[in-house]
Amino acid sequence: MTTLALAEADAATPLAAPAGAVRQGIKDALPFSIALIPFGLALGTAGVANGLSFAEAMFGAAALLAGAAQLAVIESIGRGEGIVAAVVITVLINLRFVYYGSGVARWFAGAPLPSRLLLAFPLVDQNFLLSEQRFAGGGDLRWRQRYYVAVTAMLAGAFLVSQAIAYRVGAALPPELGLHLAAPLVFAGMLARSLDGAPARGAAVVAALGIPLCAGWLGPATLPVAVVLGVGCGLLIARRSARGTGAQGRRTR
Amino acid sequence: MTVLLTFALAAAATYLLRVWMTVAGGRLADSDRLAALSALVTPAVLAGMVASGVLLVHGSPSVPQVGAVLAVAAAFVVVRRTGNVGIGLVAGLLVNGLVVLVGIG
Repeated sequence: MTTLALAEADAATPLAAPAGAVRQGIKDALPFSIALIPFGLALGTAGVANGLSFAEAMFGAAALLAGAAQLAVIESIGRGEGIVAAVVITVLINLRFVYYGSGVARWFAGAPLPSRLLLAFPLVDQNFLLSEQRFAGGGDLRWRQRYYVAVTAMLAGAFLVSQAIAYRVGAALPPELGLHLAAPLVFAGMLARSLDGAPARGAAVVAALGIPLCAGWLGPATLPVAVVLGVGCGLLIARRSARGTGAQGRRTR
Repeated sequence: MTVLLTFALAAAATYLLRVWMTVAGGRLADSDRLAALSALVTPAVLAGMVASGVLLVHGSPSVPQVGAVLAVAAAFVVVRRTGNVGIGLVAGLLVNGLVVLVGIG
């Protein structure tokens, strides 16, 4: 999973759109697909650790096609937090997809509405990033659709197969391996990639502190409340920083 | 059944986020506020999830395990340096394994 900032930075470099959309898609998606395998393994083992059946785990994987949210929902189910809490967490984690959705709206603007609605279903960080780069270099609508579908098929294949394998193998692995820690470890790694600037760091610290402080009395609402507190703190830091920069600019003049 | 329903509703909410721009005609596409908000929500949610995984047991605060804390710290540092979440996951599991082996976990 990449962050919005990372996606924006990488998407700024357009690539040429050569012939052979499917082949190019497979070639571009290969490293991303390989990188998805450990994440898929973590998701599969998290499903086992939280008591999900194979059918439930794979349904969640295929229906969501969003690893971080899937992991959060699995953890939420494991804690017995209920449906509303799981959906709220999902929306918070996947809020960035609104921004990514603008890509589908632009790339496939000439396609019929049903096609666009279908193409938006598997939209994730990786195919947004790759498509944004490739399509900046041109390519007609048909080429773009074929490329996008090839990239998505590669990513979804690696994501789902690695989860299925981890689910089957994970049940037989000893608890000493610490696979129950897979979820917080993956989240910690993703967090490390999303901390760009003081506002983001402030939001993260306050949200993390809010968890033990609120958990005793807020129950399933703990995470959403902690996130709102964190985002509020981040916005305050950003505003102060902007004011400070403005005042410094006036003094310099 | 509840698990399937939870996943189905979470998937429906996610799909609505994905098609929002297509349905809304891209009116929010250039929204700086949305980008700024998303840049803060993502780290806040992730930090909250890490804290929940390490500091809570069955939804209640508890003393964290040494191995879990060190493993999370290792994963964070490794990904910060390499940018690869997979390598961070492996590093974290190795650190936790070492702590368990030494017997301080």
